[in-house]
Parts: sequence; structure tokens; C-alpha cells
Amino acid sequence: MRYPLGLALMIILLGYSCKDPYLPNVIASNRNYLVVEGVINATPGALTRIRLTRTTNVGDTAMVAAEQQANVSVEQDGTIYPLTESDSGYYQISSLHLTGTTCRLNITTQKNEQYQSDDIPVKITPLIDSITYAPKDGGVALFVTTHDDMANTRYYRWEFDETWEYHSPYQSTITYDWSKRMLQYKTLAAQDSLYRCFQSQASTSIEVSSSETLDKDVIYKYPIAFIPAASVKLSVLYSLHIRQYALPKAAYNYFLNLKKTSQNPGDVFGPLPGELKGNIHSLTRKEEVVIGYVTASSITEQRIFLYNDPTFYDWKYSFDYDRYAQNAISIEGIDVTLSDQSKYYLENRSPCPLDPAAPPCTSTFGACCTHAIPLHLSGPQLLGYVYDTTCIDCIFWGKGGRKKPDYWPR
Amino acid sequence: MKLLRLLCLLLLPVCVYGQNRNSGLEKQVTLHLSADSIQAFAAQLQQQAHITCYYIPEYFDTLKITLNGTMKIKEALDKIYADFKFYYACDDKDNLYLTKDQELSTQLGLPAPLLKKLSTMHHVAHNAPVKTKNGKRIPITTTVTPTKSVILDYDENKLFTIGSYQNSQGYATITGYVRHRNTGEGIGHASIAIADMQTKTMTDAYGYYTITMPKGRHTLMITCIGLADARRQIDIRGAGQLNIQLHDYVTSLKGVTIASSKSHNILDPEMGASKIEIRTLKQVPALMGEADILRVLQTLPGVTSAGEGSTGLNVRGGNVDQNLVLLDGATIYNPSHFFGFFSGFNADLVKDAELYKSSIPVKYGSRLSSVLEVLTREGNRNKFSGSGGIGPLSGHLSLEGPIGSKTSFLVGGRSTYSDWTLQLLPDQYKNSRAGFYDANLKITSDLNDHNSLFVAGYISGDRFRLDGDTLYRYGNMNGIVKWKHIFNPHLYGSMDVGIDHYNFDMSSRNNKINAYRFKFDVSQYHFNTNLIYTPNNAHKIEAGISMVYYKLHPGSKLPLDSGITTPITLSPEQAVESALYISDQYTVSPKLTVEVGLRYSLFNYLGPRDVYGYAPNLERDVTTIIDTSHYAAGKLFKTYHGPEPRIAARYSLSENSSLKAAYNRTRQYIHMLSNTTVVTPTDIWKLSDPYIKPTVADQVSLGIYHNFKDNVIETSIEVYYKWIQHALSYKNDATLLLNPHIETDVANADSKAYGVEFLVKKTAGKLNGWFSYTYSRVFLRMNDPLVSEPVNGGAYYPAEYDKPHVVNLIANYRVSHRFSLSLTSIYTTGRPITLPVARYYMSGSYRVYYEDRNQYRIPDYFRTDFSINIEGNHKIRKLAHSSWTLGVYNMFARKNAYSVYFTSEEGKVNGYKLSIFGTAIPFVTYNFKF
Repeated sequence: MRYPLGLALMIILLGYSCKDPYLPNVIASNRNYLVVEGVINATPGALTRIRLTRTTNVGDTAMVAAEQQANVSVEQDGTIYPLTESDSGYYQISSLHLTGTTCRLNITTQKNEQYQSDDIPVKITPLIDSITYAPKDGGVALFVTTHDDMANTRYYRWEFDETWEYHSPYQSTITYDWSKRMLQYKTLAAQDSLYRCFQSQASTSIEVSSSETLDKDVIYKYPIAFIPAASVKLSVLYSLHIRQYALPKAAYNYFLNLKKTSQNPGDVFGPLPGELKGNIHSLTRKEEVVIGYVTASSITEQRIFLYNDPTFYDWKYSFDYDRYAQNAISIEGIDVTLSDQSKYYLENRSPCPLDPAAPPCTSTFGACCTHAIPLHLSGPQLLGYVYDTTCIDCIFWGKGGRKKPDYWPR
Repeated sequence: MKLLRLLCLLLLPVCVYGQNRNSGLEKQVTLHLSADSIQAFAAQLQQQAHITCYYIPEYFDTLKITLNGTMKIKEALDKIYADFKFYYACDDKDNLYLTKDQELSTQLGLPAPLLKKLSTMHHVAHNAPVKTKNGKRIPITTTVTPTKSVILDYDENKLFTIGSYQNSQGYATITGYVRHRNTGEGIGHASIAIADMQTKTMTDAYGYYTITMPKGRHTLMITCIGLADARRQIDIRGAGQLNIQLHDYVTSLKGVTIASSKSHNILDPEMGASKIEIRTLKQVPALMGEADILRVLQTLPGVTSAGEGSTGLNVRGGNVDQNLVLLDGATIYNPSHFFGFFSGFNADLVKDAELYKSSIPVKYGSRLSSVLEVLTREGNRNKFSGSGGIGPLSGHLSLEGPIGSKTSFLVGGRSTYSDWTLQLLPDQYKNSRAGFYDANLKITSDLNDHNSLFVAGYISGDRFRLDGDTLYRYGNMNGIVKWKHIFNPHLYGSMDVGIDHYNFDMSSRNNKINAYRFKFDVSQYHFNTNLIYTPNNAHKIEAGISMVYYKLHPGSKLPLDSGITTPITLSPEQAVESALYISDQYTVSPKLTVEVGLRYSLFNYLGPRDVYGYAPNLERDVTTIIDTSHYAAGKLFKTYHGPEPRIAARYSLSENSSLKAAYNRTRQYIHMLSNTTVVTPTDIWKLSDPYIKPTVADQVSLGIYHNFKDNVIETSIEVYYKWIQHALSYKNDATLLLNPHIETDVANADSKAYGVEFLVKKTAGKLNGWFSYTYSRVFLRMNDPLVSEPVNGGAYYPAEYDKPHVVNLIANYRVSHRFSLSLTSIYTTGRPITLPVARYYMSGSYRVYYEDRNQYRIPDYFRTDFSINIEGNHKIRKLAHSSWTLGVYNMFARKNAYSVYFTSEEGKVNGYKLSIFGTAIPFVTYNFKF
């Protein structure tokens, strides 16, 4: 984690610093500026998506309002490529074939206000050389390395997605077959469906870098992402997928400034907040503010997987049970209708552990260790364990879903 | 009247011990007295023998003398003595002194009450009167070595005869040094007044003074805050020298008597000068116990700082780079440590500090808003001594003493301890390091009566590395030699040469490809001569020449290890700033004094340098560069010059009040490049060049001053208005480091500032300190026609340090000689900030959009600090004197906002206010002196 210089210094001053919520009442003006976001994908036939939204009041918590039913088009040498609105506010096209060195974005809103970009240079993005990682402050830092032998690129921007697999604390292997009124072993697939979940998250920060002060056009180990110590992201398997864009210098300055004003807030020695103009202008009202900088380039991508490797990092991931614990105490499969048998289980439950040989209530899963009960399966009598639903269903342990991504390696 | 004459005599034992010393007593008189009074006796002696008697009539009012016949006066006295015990003494001028209970000496300079003799005489006088042959005086033939306390009386009572009469008419000038008795150090700002005359002068910073008066007998009254008042009886016969020693004022807790001339706020023509006493400095509660000059200065009216932690000064609406900070005449470019949380001056070595914020003396130039002159002590001239102390953050030690009889030295240093404070931090800071040090050396030598010399050196260094990453280092290095020569009593002058250097660098090795070191430095070589000519008391003319050669290395970035950073070295900048100045402080009448001065400064920007040419009337940008001109080494290719008039006047409304007015113009040719609110170590300096014009400030000010209660309470109201032209401002996203064409990133701006300052100050007594209230505003305007999108549309907007209301209270209460309490309380309006006006979503996060700059304010600031000073006993003979200071910074633990910022969290933009010292911070320091 990189702290702004001043902030870190203040912490050093014996932690005398502190922050308190503060939202002055004075900020209540609705400017309703148009916001344009997106990259014109110069790879022939690849998907280009432009998003149009409007600004809201600073204190609002609502989602931003999408700018719908606008006419959006990419223009090159007089050829107009219209985009179609796919989702609310998203405009896309997959049939772009940019040949020239510049292009332009045109927008006409529903209210017939016209906007146009400056000439956007069409850049070629070099390949990503590698994504590497190293332990840092108990967590793992991930770096991106790239270069351009022709030294034409110099300015880079990245976006990324993180995806990680995570598990419920316990794996349920037995199910109560309601039709047969008996307990049965689950299939592996059925076991996995409750045990393995997958969550994705897009980058929320602006990542730009430049090689302008270097002899060669090299970006070496730019720190792009960081997995903090004990994060669930690395509890099983983690994947980072990076998209790289080449930028013109003006766009680099725009994004760098945006990064400084919005990502290093409160830096004692930080610069005064100031805005840079984007490259979209209103043709209707010249002085109108339009936020956003649209660039055009090919896009290069790379993905990396990180396993929870105890030899590499001392991973101290622990579940935060209290956060997710529900009051629903039940046995998987029979929590809707209570049968006699389930009544029996519930009424006869005794303090954990019933059996001194039961697995110890470790600190990690202690809160889930509820009961140990005898189970009558088809074979000999076994000692089984009954857990809360929350302990065996990963859906309670994150914001992800059960669907395994196609690219997942195992 | 006799009484008065006698009292006067007690002060003026003017008799000279002569050969026929008792001849008066041998004179024959014929007395006719029958139960007559002493007056009648005296009248007969006067009439017949021209003997003048001095006595206190009350002591003799019971005496009835009956004497008839002719006899020697001695015999008459002895007869009277038979009935009435008294002492008599006669000098060679036929003055006869009659005293009771106490013997009077007629011996020059030697005190009458020599204890041993006195007791003997008492004994003799009361038991068995001894009739000596030569009267009752026992002639003193051996040299008596009096104790120190007696010497003081001796100096006070002695008549100093200065010069020799050529003729007794006209005026004569005396000069000399006022020094501290214990250490022999010169005392600056001591006031020297002639009793019963309006004439008054002040010593300069080194204790030197010159004063002109009519020939004849005078009494000089010498006063200085913190030191005991002194008097000197002088008989001026011609030009000459008189050195005066003052000793410490022993605090009187009950009665307070202050000589009327002690405070010079009423009489000096200059305005807006504030002197910080070192005693005040040490009493004021300090952050982490580090006594800090700059922080005390921030509590003066008209002085603010942008942020809590910062030692940067904003004086009357001036930017932080507009203060000339001089340490013994050397310019300190970065007078701060530890990122600006502490000042770079070791309080142990500082003699005093004076801030000029309104009328700036003509001898100072090259900065717009203020001059801070910090002087270190000269070192003890009498004995070897030292002092030291330890606080939570740093320790300091200083040593001083004489080298031979004419030279003294002072050496001191200060350093942080090992990074123990960092050990208290979370693990992620285990790789952090921070520390600083500074050291001073000063050698002062009086070569002879007319020449003195000092050599001073200062070095400071800071280094810090946060989170194991970039290492920052910066430091000052200064050396100066100053020679002072007294040509004659009317003319003296000084000459100094010196080198000032400031550098900073940062380096990073974490990324092997990007490993680099960035360096910046500025050096200046300066030469000054200054002459002060005092033809008479009505005029004081000061003139001189000052030259500074600047050499800046604006920046270089070089690869480290196997890094592939493209080596960049911006070409150095060099320039010469010269100035000629003259001023006359003219006392038109006792009521009116004017000081008229003119400084003319000339700035030559020198080659070698490449200068870009830009398309005319277009915004300067990389795209509008049309050509590059190369100027050879030493070529003068841009010259700026202009007059800097400085005028001040004082009109006395009454003995206790005066009215002052001043107009000041200053020009500045070197600028700090910084687009942050506070001074940071990564700020660099830039000379004026063909595109960056010198900044020019004009200030008018008016003040009314009134003192109450014998000047114990000083009050003043000052108003000012100030205009600044060609201030530098920065375009959004300006690149300041390693930019070979800074002109594309800066814009021309102007500034206006105005304010009114109220001050009430109690200078003496058990309770002392000051209370001030300031209302002031400062606005900036980016009015560069070449900038297409000026900040706030080219309208005036409040500067970052615009704080309309400022209230300061500094109080010290002496409970006893060894125990005192100090309280500092500060209230200011919150500084302006830019608040966002809209929220939007981009790159996966909510972000905010800022618009007009500085239209809102952070919450108001209020802080109270408290400290207790405990001193050890005051025995003079003691190995070491020690003192403890215990205190609390921000004792109410108020969470003052340092800044307000906005960040997006879970879809919502949240505002936070950040407090740097949001809790009460206690401290303890221990100091000793030997």
C-alpha cells in the first residue's frame, strides 16, 4: 500500500493525526455535467464501449444517471460508425475498422445537444510483458511490466479485473434425500456448488505510468494491484486480468491529475485540487463543462493466477464469522419443513463437542462448530457434524456467485 | 536645596584625592555661635573660609553649637564632635561633608562604606572618640579590591571624563559597546538616553552605539528589557569611547519600575518591527518541547501559516518564499526541520530575532514581505560555559568561552535521537527513518578599539525515508565573515562576505529500472558594505552596496545502479543582484522623525543558457515554441532594475503615544516554485528570467501607539494595504521539477492584501505577554493575458493563507523566582479550500469535480498550549543550573482540521477532515547550563 508522503509522515508523528467525517452543507448544486468514459478499440472488429452518464450532487448516494437514447458515433475520414445503446447509457460497436491515424467521437443527446471530441490519435498498444508479484507488508503486490521497442508509446494506462475463488468454512458432503427420507453422500459437483464461490471485481483506481524520463520505453514493475494481508482474495486462488492502453500525452496528464486529486486526498503536501479539461466539448454551448477523456488504441491483455502457496507467503486469512452469521440454524436440505428426524436432531442437540474426539473448535472456524450428532447412513454408524447453513454455503462468505468462470484452471 | 545638593553629591563623588587634601580643615576661622544651628555654622565657614558644607539638615536638627573664638576648622569640628557624634570629611576643593552614622569617602571611585572600615569607625565613634592628627579620616593608601556588587555602584557613581577640552563649546560624539557583564556579549537594542534631554539612541545588534551631545556634564540612562537599568555620569569634553556593562535584571515580583525609555515602540519611526526575546521564546509552550522561534513568530499579529505543522510564515499576505530569513547575515533558504514541523534554529544559541513586516530597512532587499533577522550570541567573553538539554525528539548542547582576551567562541549542535519514535508505529513503517541535525559555530573577535570581526557558520541536514521507499535529504550550509570598522565617532561601517547554500535530493532504489537520484541546489555568494554616518543627533545616514551572485542547479535526475533513467541535467541558472541604498533618519523635531530611504536594485540574468522563444500572443506551451536562443557564458541577457523607496515617519502625540506612517516598496528576483499549500522539501527555487518577471510589492501602513502605566503596557493599532505585482501562480497540473521551460506552466498573477492589527502587550511584571487580534484578507488574481483558462475565470480569489480573523494570546505568569506558568492560545478562521461541486463515476469509482478555487473554508482553528517552567535554585556558585519544562500541546485535544478531503467509499463520496495533532501532546524537557 502506498501512502501519500504527507499522510505517512503524519502517522509517523506518533499517530497524533486522526480523521473525522465531515461533509459541509454548502455543496448542494446540481451541475448535471455530461461524463464520457471509454476507449475506442482500434483492434479491428473488437468491442468498443462508451458510457455516458451525468454528474450528481456530491452528497448523493444514488447511482449516477445514465444518459440514454443519445446518438453516439465514431468518425474517421468522413466515415461515420454509429454505436448502439446496449445497456442504459452504454453505447457499443464491434464493427470498427479504423485505418487512419486519428478519429473523432460525436455525441448528440436526446435533448439535441451536440458534443464532439478533439481529434483522437489512434495508438497501437504494445503487449504486456509480464505480470509479477512479490510479498509486501504481509500482503502481495502485483506489478505489470511492458515495453515498446519503437519507443512510440511512452504513456500507458491499465484497467484490471480481479477474480478469486473462496470457500465456505466447511464442506457439506451429506445431503438428506427428502424423497428417500434418508441421508446420502453428495456428488462432488453438488459438494462444490455450495463450497466453491467466485467473485470478481473491476479496478476502482486510475493506473497510469510513463517512461518519458527513461532512456528506453520501458515500464518496469509498475505496482498495479495489492492484496492486503489476510485478504480472502488469496484464500484459495486469485486471478488478475490486466488490459493495457496506449495514451497520448495529454490524456496521460488528464488521468494523472484525476488520480492525484481523487486518490491521494488529504495529503498534507499534496497539490491543490484542480481540474484539467477533457477532450470532449459541447458544440451547443462552448463554455459547458464536459468530463472525460476518450482515447483510441488497440488493447492488449494478460491474465495471471496466484495460488495460496504457504511456502511463499504466510497467509493468515481468517473468516469474519460475526459479519456473515445468520440466525438460521438448520441442517442443509431440511430447513424448510421439519421432519421427525430433523426434530430429533434439533431437540437432541447438545453442547459442542458432544464427542471428545470431534475436531477441535479452532479459532478459525470456532464459531461454526455447532453440534456433533450421530448419523445413520447406509453403512455403519458415523459421527457427523451439523453446522449452520452459513458455515457450509460460500454464498454467505462474500459477494460472489457459484458460477465458475470459463477460464478457471481447476 | 541643601538636601538636593547633598543627594547629588552622594551620586557624584567628584573629589580628587590630592596632596593637600585636608588643607580646608587647617583653615582658621573665627566663630561666633551660641546654641546656634548647623546652618549658622555652615554660613560662617562659607563666609570666612569659603568652605562649603554639605549635610542633611534633618540629621543635624537637634544639634546646638556654642563655639566662640578663632580656631582651626578641624578643632571646631572636634569640639562639636564631643557632644554630637558625626563624621566629617573634606576634599581639596574645600567642600566639607558632614554625615551621620555613615562615613563618606572623598577618595575617587572608592566607596565610602568599605565594610571593614565602617565598622571600625562605628566602634570608634560611639565608644571612645579618637582625635586623630589629620582629622578622623584614615587615609587609604592601599588598593582595595572591592566585590563585584561594589563595582556596580562604582560605575554608576563614577564620573567618566571623555575626551579633552579643546574648547568647551559645541557638541561631541561618544561611541562604544554595551555589553553583558557576565558574558561580555554585546547587547543589541539597548536604549541610551541623556537625562533631561530628548536625545536618545539605540545600540545596534552587536551592542555598538553612537550618540552626540553638547559638551559638559550629562547623565546617560541605559535601559534594555530584561537587564537592570544603568546610569553613567559623564563629562564630555570631546569625542571618545565609553563601554558600558549591564547586568541581569533580578525579577522583582512585587514592585515594578520601568524606565520610560525602555520601550521604543513609541519613539522609533519604523513600523511593524517585532522583536522576539529569547526569554519569551523559552517560556512559550512548544510542540514536543522544541523551543521554536518560527512558531513564536506565528503568534504575532500579521503573521500566519498555512497549516498547523508548518513553520512557513505568511507575513501580511505574503507568500512563504517572500521572507528573507537571515542568520547572522546569512540567508537560510529552508529554515525548517522534519518536513517543516520544527524550525532550524537552535534556541540555545539565539540571542534574539527580529521580524520586520512593514518598514523594511533599506539595507535589506531581495524578498518582498518581511525580513527575519536571527542573531546568535557571541559567546561568553569571561569564562568557559555551556548549556544543553534533552526533549522527546532531540537533544542539544552548546559550549562557549573566551579565546584570549579579545576573542570568544560559541559552538552548538542539535540532533534527533535514533528513530525510537518510529518504533512505536505499525509494522509497515519499520523501514521508515527520519532525523535531523544542525550545528552553529561563531567566533567573535575585537581586533582593537576600531575593528571587530566575526566568523559564523551554520550547517543543517534532514533525511527521511518513509516506508522504505524514497529517501529525501535536504540541508543548508552557510558561512559568513563580517568585519566592522569604526572610522571615527561619526562614522562606522561593516563589510561582510559569505556563501549560502541549500540543496535537496531524493533517491529511490526500489525499482531497479527506475532507480534514480534527483538533485537540486542553490548557492549564493554575497558581499555587503554598510556605512552609518551620524553627523549629529538629528541625522543618521545609512548607505551601502549589496551584491549577490546566484548559482542554481535547477535539477538533475540521474540513474542509480543499473537504472535506465535518462540522465537529465537542466542547465544551471546564474544571476547577479546588486543594490545601492541610502537612507536618512532625520529627527525634524522632538515630535517628528522621518526616515527616508531609497534602495535601487539591479538584476542581471547571465548566460550560459538556452531560452525558448514563443509565438507572440499565444499561450506559452510546448507547441508554441518557435525558436531557441543560446546565450554564452557570462552574457547579460536580461536585466531588471527598479527603485525601492522606503519611507517612514513618526509623530509624537504625547509622551506616551505616537502616530506612524510608512510606505515601502520591495522587489524580489528569486521565487520558490511550489504548488502545494505549505513548504515542502521538494520545493525548488527559480530566478527571474526573460519570462518570469520580478515580483514587486508596495505597502502603505499607518499605526497609532499608546503606552500605559509607565510603558508597562504597550498598545498599538496598525492598518496596512499591500499590492503585489507579478506574483507567480501555477496552471493546473503544472510540472515544476525538471521542467526546462517553467514559463509554460506558470502564469502571471497579482495579489492584494489588507488588514488591521491590534496589539496589547505587557512587558513586565508577574504577568506578562501579549494579546493580539488581526483582521486581514489576501486575494490573488491570475491576470495573465496569455492564459486561456485562468483560475476562477481571472477573478480575485482568497489565497490559501487567507485567514480573516486571528486572535493570539501569549501569557506568562511568574509564581515565584523558580516557578512560572505559560499559556498560549490561538484562534484563527479556517483556511480556504476548494470544495467539489459534482460527483460522477469513472474508472470504477465515484469521483468528485472541483470548480472555483478557495471558495469555502475548513472549520475554524483553536488551540491552547500550557507549560510549567521549573528552575533550580539560583545560587550563583553552583556546578550547573538546570530547569525543567513540562507542558501540553493542544491541551483541550481539539481536533483542528488541517485539511478536508473527499473520497469515494462504497458508492458514496465521503468528506473527511484530517487533524494532524488532534490530541493533547504532553512533553517534558530538561535543560542545563554551566
